[in-house]
Amino acid sequence: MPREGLFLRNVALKSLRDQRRALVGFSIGIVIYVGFLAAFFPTVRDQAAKFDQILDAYPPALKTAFGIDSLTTGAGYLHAELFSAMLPILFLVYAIGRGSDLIAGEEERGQLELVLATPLTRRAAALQKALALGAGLLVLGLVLFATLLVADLAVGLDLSLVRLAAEVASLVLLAAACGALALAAGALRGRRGLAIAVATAVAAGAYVLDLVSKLVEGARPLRWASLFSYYDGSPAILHGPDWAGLAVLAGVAVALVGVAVAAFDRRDLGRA
Amino acid sequence: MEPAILTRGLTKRYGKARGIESVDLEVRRGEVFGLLGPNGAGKTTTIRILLDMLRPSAGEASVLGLDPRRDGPSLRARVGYLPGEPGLAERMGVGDQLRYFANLRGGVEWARVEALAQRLDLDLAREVRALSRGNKQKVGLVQAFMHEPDLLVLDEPTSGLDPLIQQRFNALVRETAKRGATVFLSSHVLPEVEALCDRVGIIREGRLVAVETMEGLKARALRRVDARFATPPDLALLRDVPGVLEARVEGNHLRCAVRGETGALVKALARGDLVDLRVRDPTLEDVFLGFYGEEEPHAA
Repeated sequence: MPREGLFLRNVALKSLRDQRRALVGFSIGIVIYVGFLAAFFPTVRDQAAKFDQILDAYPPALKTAFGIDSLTTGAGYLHAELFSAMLPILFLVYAIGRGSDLIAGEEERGQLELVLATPLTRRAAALQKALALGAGLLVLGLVLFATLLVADLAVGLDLSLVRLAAEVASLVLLAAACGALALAAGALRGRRGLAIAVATAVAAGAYVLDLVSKLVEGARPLRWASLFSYYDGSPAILHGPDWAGLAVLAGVAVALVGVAVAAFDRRDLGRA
Repeated sequence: MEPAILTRGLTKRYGKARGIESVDLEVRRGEVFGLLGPNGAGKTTTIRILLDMLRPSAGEASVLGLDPRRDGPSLRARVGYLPGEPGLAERMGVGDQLRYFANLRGGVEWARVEALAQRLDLDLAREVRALSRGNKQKVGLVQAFMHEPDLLVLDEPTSGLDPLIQQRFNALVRETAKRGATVFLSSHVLPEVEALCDRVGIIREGRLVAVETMEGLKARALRRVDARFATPPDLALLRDVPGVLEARVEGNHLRCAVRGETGALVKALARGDLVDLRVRDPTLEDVFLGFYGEEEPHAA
């Protein structure tokens, strides 16, 4: 058997194998960025009085908008510095990049033709692609979770395991929903660029809508329409698991995978 | 037994672009059938419908008695397919790539993969991205043949192969036909088809315009003749020679085209002071002209 035989067994494992470089790169990025920010936490905590003064001077709207609750607790610090912007960006870039590539990208490169010439059905191929995307995101989520646990031990973030796990889970599910959107857009049209554009536009739109609805009273009724609000509406790391939010994100991801599977089964396969 | 491939009124339209129009094709079991036509004529479209990569706009196709759409998996298990552009995962060893395709087919006998690779002179240890166009084509060929399919569908199989490997490929196709499998291949080069096929379908602008045995095709194809004489020849030499087209005298040369066999023409030319004779193999265009070319009135 050649080495890596396991990852040649089916489309899901092969697609996970194809993500290995991206997974290693993003994992290193997560470890460095999270480690770097965690290292600063003791300084912030020890200067708590000063930071609270500075924060008091911030306009409340700004604090709401950027998820600044309290910088002097571990959870508040992580939420403001990591979970409200940087980590979602990182995870979404990964999810949309992979999601758009798994079907549309490979199709554009002509790589699906030989895969689909085997007895595999289109539906099975699309579903296995979706599983590979989910598995990749799960790996990143576990890397993040482990990094935060180590950071907690090192600098004393005083985190609740349940809340942390729920926060990471909702981040992974947010990314899964956006990645599934890119996968579905790619499965519908077979164009990677289009899939990236659609998923990025929806994700950015959701972020802005969530922000606006926090700041502008009149926009609040529209908040439900933002995917981002189910992630950051009630941050798990601050308030405990938001089961409804998790369910919505998971539901959207599953529904979009269903769209991807059905769409891919119906259309002509494009050429390289 | 039902034919290996049967299409009725098979049509594919892509918006305004041409696809294929009402193609009726029958490929018998055990034969080597060539689909001959220029690039863009509809060869790849026809092939990709048989593999369920494309869905026809109208008409129907049956492959090994099965429906490409409805019976996809069980049908594709029995078909080996070489696409026009075999897209391979670049960051992968050739062996791993083939192992992956074998696994997607539920496993194949690895010794067979090795034998095919050796035969086509393909190194399984190399990285796909380091391969030349011809070597990538070999990977495509190995995966098409590795599970001993009942039907091989090969889109321009010899493009990129050097002449030696092309001969080995030809031998492989003949062996495959001998064990009872059917081979359906496309080409835009006549000699390639000539060397392999029992019958040929000619496709042009999306329409299947003729299906002929190789002999029938040769009997109609135009051959270009260039005869050099010691002195300027007289076109009257060609009087009474059937099937002569485009005859003209240029200096000591008499150039013309002849439909089918050249015997009568050669005899007529030999009546003059003939010095040298060259007959060029018909090109694809000459095959078409053989079917459509207006016969000029006899020179004289």
